[in-house]
Amino acid sequence: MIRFALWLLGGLVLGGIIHITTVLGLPLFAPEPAFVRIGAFALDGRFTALPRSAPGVHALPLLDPAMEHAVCRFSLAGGPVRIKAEMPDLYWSIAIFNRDGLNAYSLSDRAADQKPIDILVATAGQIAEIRENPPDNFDNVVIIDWTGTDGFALIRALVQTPGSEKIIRDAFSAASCDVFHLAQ
Amino acid sequence: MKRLIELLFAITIALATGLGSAWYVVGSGWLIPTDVFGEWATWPGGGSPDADPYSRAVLARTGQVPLGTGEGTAFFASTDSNGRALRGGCDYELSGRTPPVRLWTLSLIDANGDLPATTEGRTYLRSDEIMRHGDGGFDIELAATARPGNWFQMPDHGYYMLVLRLYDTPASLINDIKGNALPHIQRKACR
Repeated sequence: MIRFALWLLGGLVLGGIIHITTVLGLPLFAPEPAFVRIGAFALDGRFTALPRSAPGVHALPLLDPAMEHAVCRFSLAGGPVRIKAEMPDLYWSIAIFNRDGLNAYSLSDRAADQKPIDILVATAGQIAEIRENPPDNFDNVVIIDWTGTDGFALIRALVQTPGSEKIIRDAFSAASCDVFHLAQ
Repeated sequence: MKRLIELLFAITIALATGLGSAWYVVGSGWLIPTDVFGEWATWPGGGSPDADPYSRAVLARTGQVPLGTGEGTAFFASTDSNGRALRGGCDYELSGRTPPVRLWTLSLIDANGDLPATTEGRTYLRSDEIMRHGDGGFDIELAATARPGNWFQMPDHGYYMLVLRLYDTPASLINDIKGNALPHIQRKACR
């Protein structure tokens, strides 16, 4: 009986270890993190408007159906990435996620004081380079110190009236999200 | 032989409890709520870089893109105020108030996070399109057929979750809500 209890205990301890490794390991081999899903329908280095969430339509899970969304996957391998967008005067927000889908930065239009989106995502090394030789007209750029080499940005914009849909989509088409080349 | 059976027994227990409990926690696809207010649950830290391992696993598995702290906070309710599951074919009254935020939206999702199809076709209500009482409070009727006042169409069958997304939320949000500032969901007639 004691022997049986020991085997049971051993099994439970091993079960605990399996539980922890499964949970911790999931992000490493998860089938569908947002970063991978976006890569399936959007090119990297530019904003792609997502179809509006509707019954049976969800480009990414749990997006607010009251909003239009655009995503851009980026890589810092070729240099820092500058995200620029001039959104209409409606509620909007931007969030930047890392490869694991964790939200590392977010900003709403009110916090941005209605100014156009102008964000530079850069690694610590790239930021040091910029500090050494700051480009012109760089005062209003929000610089984000990025851990890792890739991620994605997501803009959410409120469809206030049926007409705002087109205005938002035009703003998405004009938005940019590509490598910013430092002047040599 | 006996030793082998014992070993197999222990391994079976290990796999069943280890994988079973991991699936139980992250398999549903929902984050672990960190704050619960009556029928509403939220996980404000769920999307942040210092999120717990369970949230990380859920995000990686489902591809959700939660609202960031600078954007807003989403609240989910799967039951009414009395703890009964929200069901199509029942009428509900959502009444009360929200913390002072610039904008909120209300929508309905099924267990997979999909928006249900309704005859009316509306998938959400927005804070600036509803009628309010003089004190800023409001009532919203959730029902399959049209109601006077604020009405949001409920499907006629299935189980659902209400999603209340508050945008541009103040840093004091959680304290504001502790002062009883989220609407209550009361069940009316069922068919």
